[in-house]
Amino acid sequence: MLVSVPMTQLVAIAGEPVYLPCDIATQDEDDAVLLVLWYREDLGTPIYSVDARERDFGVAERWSDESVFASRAYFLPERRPAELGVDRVRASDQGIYRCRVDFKQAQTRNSRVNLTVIVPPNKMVITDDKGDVKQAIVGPYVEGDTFTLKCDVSGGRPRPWVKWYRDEVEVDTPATALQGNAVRGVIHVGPLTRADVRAALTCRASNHLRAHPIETTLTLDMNFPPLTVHILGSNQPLSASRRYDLLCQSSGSRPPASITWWKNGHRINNAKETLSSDGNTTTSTVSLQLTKADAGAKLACRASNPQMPSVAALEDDWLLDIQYVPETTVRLGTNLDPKNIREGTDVYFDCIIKAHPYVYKVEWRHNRKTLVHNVGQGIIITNQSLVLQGVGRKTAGNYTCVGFNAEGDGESKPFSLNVLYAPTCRSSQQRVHGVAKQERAHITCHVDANPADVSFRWTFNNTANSNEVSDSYVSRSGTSSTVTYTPHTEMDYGTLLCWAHNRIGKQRVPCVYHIIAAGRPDQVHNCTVVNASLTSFGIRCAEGFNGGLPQSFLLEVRDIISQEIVANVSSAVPRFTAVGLEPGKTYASAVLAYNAKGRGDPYPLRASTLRPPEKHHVHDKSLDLPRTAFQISGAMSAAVGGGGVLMVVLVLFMVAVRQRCAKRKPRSAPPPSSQPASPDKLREKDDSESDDRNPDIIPSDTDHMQLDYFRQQQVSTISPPPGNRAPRGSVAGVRGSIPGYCPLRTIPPSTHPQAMHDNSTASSSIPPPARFASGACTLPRGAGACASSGAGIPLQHLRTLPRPLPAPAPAPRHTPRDTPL
Amino acid sequence: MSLKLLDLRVPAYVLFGSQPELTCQWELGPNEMLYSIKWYKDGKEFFRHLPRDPEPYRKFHLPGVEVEKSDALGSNITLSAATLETGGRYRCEISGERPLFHTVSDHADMLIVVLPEYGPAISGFRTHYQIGDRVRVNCTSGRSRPAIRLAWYINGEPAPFSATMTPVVFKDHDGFETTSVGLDFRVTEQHFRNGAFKVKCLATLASIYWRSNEESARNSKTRMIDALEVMPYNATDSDAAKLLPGNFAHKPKFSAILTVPIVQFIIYIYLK
Repeated sequence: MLVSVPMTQLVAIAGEPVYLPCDIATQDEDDAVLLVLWYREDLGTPIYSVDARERDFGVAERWSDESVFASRAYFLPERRPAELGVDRVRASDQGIYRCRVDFKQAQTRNSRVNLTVIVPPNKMVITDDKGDVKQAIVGPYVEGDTFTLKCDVSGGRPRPWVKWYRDEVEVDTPATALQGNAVRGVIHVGPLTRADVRAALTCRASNHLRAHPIETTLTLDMNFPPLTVHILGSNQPLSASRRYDLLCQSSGSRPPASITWWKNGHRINNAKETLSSDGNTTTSTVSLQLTKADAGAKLACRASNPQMPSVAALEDDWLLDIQYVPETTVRLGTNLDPKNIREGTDVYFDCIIKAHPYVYKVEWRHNRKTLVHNVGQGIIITNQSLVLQGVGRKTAGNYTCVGFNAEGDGESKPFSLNVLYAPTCRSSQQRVHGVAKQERAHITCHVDANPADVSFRWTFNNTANSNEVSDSYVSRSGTSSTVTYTPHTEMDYGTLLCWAHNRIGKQRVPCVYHIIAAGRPDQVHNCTVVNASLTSFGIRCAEGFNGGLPQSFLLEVRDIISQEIVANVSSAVPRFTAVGLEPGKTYASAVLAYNAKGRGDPYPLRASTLRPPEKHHVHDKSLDLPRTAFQISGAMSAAVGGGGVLMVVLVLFMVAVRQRCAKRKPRSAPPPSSQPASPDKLREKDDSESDDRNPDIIPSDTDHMQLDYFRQQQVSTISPPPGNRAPRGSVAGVRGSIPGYCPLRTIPPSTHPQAMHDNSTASSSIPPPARFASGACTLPRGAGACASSGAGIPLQHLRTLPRPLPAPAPAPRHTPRDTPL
Repeated sequence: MSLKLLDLRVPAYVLFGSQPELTCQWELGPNEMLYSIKWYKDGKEFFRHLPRDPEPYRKFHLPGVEVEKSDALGSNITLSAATLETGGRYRCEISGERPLFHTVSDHADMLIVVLPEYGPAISGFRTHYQIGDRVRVNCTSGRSRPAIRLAWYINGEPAPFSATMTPVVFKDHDGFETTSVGLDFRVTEQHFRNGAFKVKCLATLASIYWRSNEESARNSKTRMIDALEVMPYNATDSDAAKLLPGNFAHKPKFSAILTVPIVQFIIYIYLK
């Protein structure tokens, strides 16, 4: 061939452009390039031409063989040397090219280019030991595995080299040539450890430094069994009835561990799993509400790799220690019959306790109030037992015991202690009934009893005799019994006694009801001026006996000079305020009680409004301090001055009463000094038998109970006195104080009733004051008069009333049909 | 592709000083026009004909190559007298007109031949041999380009291979070559015909040169001692010179003057 034609060696990468040099330069200015022809040596026809024979070279006609370079080729005459650019070189472009340059004058210039086209490998197939094609992930393998990967590369020219890299570090790669132009590179991996996971295995192949290698990277996937499993915070005590979120963590498993919970071998299903961001740690949360029954149970957390079923699960165990609020039960002493506990019995309870941790304290409660160890009150608390000595009715109720531990307070169900007792008279009853003749009255007896299944017996006593009341006048409702009673004669006034009994026993002390002739209320007493101001003052009094009927009260205020009524106030209680008065003025006031039977005696007193301030100081000394006494004395002097005749009559009357009292004295009952002590250690003030309606007694003190008691003993003629009650230390003192009350009852007569009557006629709505019936002294009044005598036991007068004997009326009492109206 | 190169004729051996004629024949296809015919020697253009170029014939000087005449097509060209540099590879390249510029070409090699000034010379041959004597002779050609090929004949028959030595070619610094080849055999009774036998050395160069030299010896009937065979024998030299005037020292000029034109003439006739 053209052995002397110069040849350039060119290497091009398929797909890239290549530039085939062709020197068209000429030194002769007169010369010019006429034609450039590019030949491929195996073809007879040029594959590219630049024809400038009839035109300027810059606009030369260019032609490219459509079957060779076509539009990929373009001549670059400005380059030195000029070049034929060929884009996107193909494998088929490889060959020897000749460029022929025809000059206008110079010799034709031929040059050659030996173009070698590098075709990068285009196919890479990686197979594992089993012949499976691997794309991005190889595995999963387990620790200790070894494996081989084959990387077959084909499609390149010339034959490519192939290399394996592990994490971009070249690995010694035995390579073998395969059929065609293919090459196989082999990598051996293993034995594997945990550190090998996610290793990047890259097979890279190329056949020229300038050519982009093709490569495939496989990530090594491995499966690991879990390394650790822990129940967090295990082996600490847990509280029953609290909900716990227990956590179990397992690390080291790949893929992430699956965690299961077990209690005594039974699967717990409500666990929830979360995964750490690195995927290495699985946390399982189980929400458990444990009970006392779970104590000692084995709680297990198991972690396993779901992809490695043949590997045994890792397990962490926890023997549960369950703590709980004490569970308590009140148990009555075994030899006690809970249905038959009577007053006075000794009762004991045990508190049965289940607790963990054990209780540090046990408490007993009675009706929700904590009991305190008190031997004197018969409350004995030892360890877990409670002893109640001599239970009474107040001892009854709900008993609980409470165990305390760190988990809380465990209160038992209440044990209801039922204490049985015989009926007793209920306190706060109307004990005095004022009844007019022919008036029908309903006297109700209320008793307390357990059981409440009671029956009643009534008797009527007067000074003469004692009679049973026929059942036909009696009605019963539960623990109450009512007698319908109509006094017809003086003899029908006296005392009704009510007796009840249940299966425990009879009422030891009857309920006592005094039937008295209804009359005017007694005079109020102890009146005082309070809260005086420039234009007003207040008056407070203690009310007297109401005469057996409901009473109201009236205040009249009169100008001393003109006797005009400046205020007239009525009230249900003896407390008044007079307003609209003149400053620094003294008024004559009177307070009286009234009921349906008439008006009681007025209680006069002087009351003053305050003086204006400038003169106040002078009057303070002369008037204020002794005001009450002064006013009272003033009132008394007025009364003396106004009614001296009445005073004389009153003195005579009092002398007569005293003589009668003295005559009755021998019949008085002995003092109750022999009363037995109550067995009730939880005794309360038992006023159930008191007669607080007794008008002789100011109803403001606790001691009146004792008075009633003694009086009842004296009144009772049917039941014997209670056998074994010991007298109390306070009794004597009470007795001593009783005479102090009597003078209050003696005072009203000092104000002449007639005078008060005259003063009160202005009020039409208030009944006129009743006049004393001569010789018809009602029971309370007589008592007051008698007490004023100051003789011996103050209540003896009950038997020495100067009232007419009801002797003419025994027959009607025994024929109760006549009694009701 | 209808342009065809029909024939390229380049003389393979050209006698130094002769004028080689080169012929390139082609055939254009229908509607096809000729763009160029180009003649290259060793890749370098020395003559072209572009029918429609303002200067349709253009010669380029190459050492030893000068186109003396050409026909109108440029397909037959005659070079000036060949020198050693004229030898080489000649290419004829014909291209059609655009747009395809169909191109055909062919090439042939030309060798420039310089013949020896004298024919092959045989040395070492005696005038008398006895049966059983060993014949050891050399034949050496004259200087030539390229080298002369030598061959031995005994009694007109090609010498057997066993008697023929390997030829040795000596190349001078100026490129001329001398060929030498030996002949070595023992004389037998069959060699003698009518009491004498002949050896001949034939020198050839391709088909353009053909010269030989032949010598004859008589049966001496008495065997000479071996020592005599080795020693030069003056009498033999003089004998040979009588028989082969070409070997005389005073004859080479004469031979060269006479022989070369004759051979050239013969070749000329032959080529024609």
